[in-house]
Amino acid sequence: MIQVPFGTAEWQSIAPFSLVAIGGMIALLWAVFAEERPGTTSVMWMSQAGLAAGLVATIALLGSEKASFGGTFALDGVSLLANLVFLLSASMTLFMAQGHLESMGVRAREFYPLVLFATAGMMIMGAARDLVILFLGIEVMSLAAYVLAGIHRRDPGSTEAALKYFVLGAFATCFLLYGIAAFYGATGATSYDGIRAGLASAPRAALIGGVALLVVALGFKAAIVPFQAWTPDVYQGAPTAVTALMSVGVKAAAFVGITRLFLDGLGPLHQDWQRIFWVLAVLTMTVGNVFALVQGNVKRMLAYSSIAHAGYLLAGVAVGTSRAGGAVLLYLFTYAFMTLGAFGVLIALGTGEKPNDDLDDLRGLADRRPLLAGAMTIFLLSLTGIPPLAGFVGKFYVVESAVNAGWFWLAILLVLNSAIAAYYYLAVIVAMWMRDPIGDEPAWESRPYLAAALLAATVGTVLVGLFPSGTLDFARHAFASIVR
Amino acid sequence: MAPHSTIPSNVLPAALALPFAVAALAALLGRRLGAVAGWIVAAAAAGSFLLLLDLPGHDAVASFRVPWLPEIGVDFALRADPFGRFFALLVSGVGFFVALYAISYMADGDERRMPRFWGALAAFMGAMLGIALSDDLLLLFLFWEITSLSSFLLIGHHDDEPAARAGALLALQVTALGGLVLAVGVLLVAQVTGTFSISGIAGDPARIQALLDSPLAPGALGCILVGVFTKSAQFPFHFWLPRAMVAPTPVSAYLHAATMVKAGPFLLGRMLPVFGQLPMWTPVLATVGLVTMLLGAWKAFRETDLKAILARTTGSTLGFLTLLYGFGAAEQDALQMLNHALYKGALFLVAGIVDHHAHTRDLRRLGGLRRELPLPFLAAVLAGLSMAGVPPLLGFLVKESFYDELLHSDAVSGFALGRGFVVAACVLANVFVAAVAAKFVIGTFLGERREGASRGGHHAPHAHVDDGARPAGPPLWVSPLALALGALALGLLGATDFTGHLAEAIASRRSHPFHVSLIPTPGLPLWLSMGGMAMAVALYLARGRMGRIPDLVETHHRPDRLWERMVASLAVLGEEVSMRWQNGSLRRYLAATLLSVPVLAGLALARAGLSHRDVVVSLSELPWFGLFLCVLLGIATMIAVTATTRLQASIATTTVGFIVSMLFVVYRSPDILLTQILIETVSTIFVLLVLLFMPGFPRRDMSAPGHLGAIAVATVFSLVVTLLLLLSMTPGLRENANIAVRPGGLLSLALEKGGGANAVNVIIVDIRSLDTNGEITVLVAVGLCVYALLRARRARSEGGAGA
Repeated sequence: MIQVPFGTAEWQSIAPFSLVAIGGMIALLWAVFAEERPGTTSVMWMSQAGLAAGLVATIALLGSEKASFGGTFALDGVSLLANLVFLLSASMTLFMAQGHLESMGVRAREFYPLVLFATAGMMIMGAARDLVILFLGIEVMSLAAYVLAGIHRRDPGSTEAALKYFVLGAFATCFLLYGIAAFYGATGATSYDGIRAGLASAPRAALIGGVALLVVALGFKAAIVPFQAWTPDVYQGAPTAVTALMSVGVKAAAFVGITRLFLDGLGPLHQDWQRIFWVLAVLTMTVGNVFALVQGNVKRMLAYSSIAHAGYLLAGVAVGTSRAGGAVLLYLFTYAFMTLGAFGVLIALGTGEKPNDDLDDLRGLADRRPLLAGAMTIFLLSLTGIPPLAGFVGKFYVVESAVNAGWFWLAILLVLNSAIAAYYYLAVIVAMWMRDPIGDEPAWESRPYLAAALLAATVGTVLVGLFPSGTLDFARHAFASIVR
Repeated sequence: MAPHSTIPSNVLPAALALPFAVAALAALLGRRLGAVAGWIVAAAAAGSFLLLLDLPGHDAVASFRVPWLPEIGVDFALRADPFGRFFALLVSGVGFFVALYAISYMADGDERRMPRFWGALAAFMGAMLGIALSDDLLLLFLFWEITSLSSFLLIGHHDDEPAARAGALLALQVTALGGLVLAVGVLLVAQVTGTFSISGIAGDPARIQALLDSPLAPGALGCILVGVFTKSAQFPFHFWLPRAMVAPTPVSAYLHAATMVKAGPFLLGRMLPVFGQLPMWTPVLATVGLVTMLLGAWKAFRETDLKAILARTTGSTLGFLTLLYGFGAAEQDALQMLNHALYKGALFLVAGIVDHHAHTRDLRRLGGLRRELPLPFLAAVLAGLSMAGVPPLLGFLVKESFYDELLHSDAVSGFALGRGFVVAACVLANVFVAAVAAKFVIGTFLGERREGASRGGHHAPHAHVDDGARPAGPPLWVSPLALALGALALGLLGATDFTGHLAEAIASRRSHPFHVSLIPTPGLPLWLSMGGMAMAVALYLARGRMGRIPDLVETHHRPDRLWERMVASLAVLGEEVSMRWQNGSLRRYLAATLLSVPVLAGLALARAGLSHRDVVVSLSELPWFGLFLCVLLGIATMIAVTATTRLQASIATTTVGFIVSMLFVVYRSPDILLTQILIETVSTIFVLLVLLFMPGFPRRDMSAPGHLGAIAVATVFSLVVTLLLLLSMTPGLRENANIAVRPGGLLSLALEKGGGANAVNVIIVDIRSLDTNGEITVLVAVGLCVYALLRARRARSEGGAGA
């Protein structure tokens, strides 16, 4: 704290996100000030360098367990694993956006630095052990995300998405601040340590109200029913690369924030939040899946399916054991690969004129582009939770931890939901492999960066599925090492 | 479990990997391979068969085990105990003949689909081998799901036909759902016993006892049974099997007669030593088995499509196997399965030949094919006799031994419906099945050639190939005849000890000596057999009259349609609700989000037993000017909301901000007051600057109900949040609120350790330096963005001027 000089521990713990943020600024400066207006490729690579710096710092720090800045900022397995997920999704987003934005007529160089700023915000969220730091992270991430959603300024859908996201997000921010105020009032602290220490003497109503408000605020960012309303419109309206970032990075950040806040900080209050999460988890997965059933647009379907996945994740949080905490982290990891991949395929389908992301556009894809259809099949099967792919591993451990903690019905409901989900994921697979294509073949462009990103996502989905042991081990240890 | 010595063997993973490797090969290189792909799949089946046949014999069990998920104790564990090995040999052996048959049968199929066909067939075979050989429950589940998936591809082979897609989807929905429920059952078993190892549970009485004593046991068994019943088409999940007959005939023969549907009974055999003593075991299994058996037999008798007949009798036999396990008669399970696989596989393949030849499978249009198809006729006769249980075929032997079991088993007499009922039901089912066998063989091959059953006649929907003229593979009759001759050979060998020894060696539970013999022993079983046979003949002769009896079972409420309606109504529900909820209206989204807060908070408060009576603060504590400010605040907010121009709105918002700042006067916090005023001023200037660039204010008039709704939402939200805040202000809270000035609180820290009297400054630059750092970062970023925007603007205008 104050008496401690700003020491190595402090520098270390903020190094990953600072490097990403600085990388973003340098890329931004480069994009703005370079004598010759640089092409987007060079800005993209500069931004990738920033992400790489953050990745190097993260990897170098693996195994650290300390809290700095008066215990408000954690450097532990959870924050480091979260960093990996964020950096992965950001890097893939950059690769996937390359060429995609240009073909839509968006020549915004600020796109790439903005992704880095959002990532820095996520990384702050993943490490926050103080409600104010959490707030800071959420805002850094969200402000960038609002802009990113509207980056396609000439497209009414994109603008509408940005506006909806911003207005509703502003309300979520307001709830978050109410909640922080309630906890500060009740316990006299905003740090998780301080809150835990003050819980015993705190008035019950303030705690209950605080929990409710925080659930709403974070539930909004994680797209949990009934705060999910913005998700389908924003996901569909935003450029697909941004959607990928939002559905993986933003959601993961929200869940890491939720995990740390509720399982660690508010752990002693679990009787107050556990039942809320139980109900919200079942509601979220059911609504997400049932709504996804009827979508004729694959991007919108994936938006609903991401809501369903938020439900599965929330089920893990509701279970609340340390086993479940590890399962949630593992799930985020597996979810990242397959979701980024699925959105990546949708990006690959788009041409300058048309996004080509309706279910009918995917008909007969296996004949036209067998490799792309094969990759999409792997991602969709993984999202369904079919073994031996990554999605199965993630889902399995959530179910396992639920059964292990005696939450039998939660496990059954999760499983039934997976069965509903199989229906709409398979509809896409059937369309790709078993139906004849409609219309002429669109004039697809070749995008090497996108292809590389898709390859990486495929490899990740398959490898984590085949050899889940290492990843699980990592996630378990990460959660066990959470700084208390 | 019999005490076998275990020896590690790498043959097991090799036998398992072979089909999967071939599957990958066929799927990737399929188009280039052409017909060769089929030969490779057949060779893989033969290879796996030989590898498994060559395993060490009776007294040792080959096993293979590598840790897979050590964190939760899951191993990649394979084990070839006699029962598992039998099942694996059955899978690969029948697989070989089916692949051989399919090379010719599918020769004229759409080339585009063939890589998928061979890939899925090989993957399916591998997965079935996996089920047979898994010694780990989770691994078994994994292979279980792969069979569901690959069978989906196989059933939906003719993907241009809606019926094929619908049938495939129905099968997948039912079996995949069951598989997932099975996973929960597996997890529950592992939770109680502490291991996923099948042999580890079945071989450890202490673990079994712990499981039986656990309150989770019925739930675990229930989940596993849902998996079993869906996979093997047991009532009430029996409806997908007839619909799956849209599959190409080799697939039907392989999946829906010989192997996949038997995965259910196979798992029952694995679970019998574990759950057999649970009180619910016998009643549940026996009841479900009986219903499925009788329903299938009755329905089969009414069908006229060859494959539908076979599908229904398969359902009946699967019910019979469930019944068998329900009574714990595990000594003859493998023999029963083998018997069924041989005759039913043969009959399916014959049905395929008939379909190819006559372009129809409808019994009403078939007849007299014995001269045109002599060898398939022979296969059909042999298989049909085995199905009817006529000596000297294998079917006769196993029926005898089953009757024997029924009449002497204690479990049967303990069953609620009583021994007499069970015996009568089984005889009745057998009578129907025998009559159906007669109908199948006689109706197809004997009698006169009928109209329509000719070459070039009505083109059956699934006959894509002209009959056997294709030189691609061996003649079609090879496989069915081989299977039928197997049934004959094992029946004849029943005259010696061979068949008995075989049954003993492959059963999931060994009993010595196991009696099965071709030479009938006079006794009740024999009389039941002979009586049944006579009744079957009578039934066959009276089939015309029987056909006039109205079929009241499942005609109006077909369960498959019911299921599909259920799924469809789920979709309709999703559509209706999502159209209303997710209609794109920001106002509605906002209302939903705003209302969720009072609902959540209200529920939580109610649960904690708190209400407005618990508020301990009163408005009188507020000084008069504070109250005045609050009223002003309300007015300013109303103006902001109802503003009609941007300028008006921004000024009203600024007013709100200044009034809020003034509220800090009430709390005597001049430093915060000043900061707040500064921020308000700066942001107002920004807003006014931005207004220069903004277009006019679009006015949208809201309808009266819309207004009322908005007011209602706002009122509810603000009332509950106000209540919440008031409730939070208990005396304890106010003490807490002063925590900042207490020793160790932020304010005292600022003075004591930060050395600054201006607490806000110290907090900003020292205590919360990281936050400040972040804020500066954001500020810099924003500044850069603004600069970039301005620069871009300038560049554009310059560019415009240049052009």
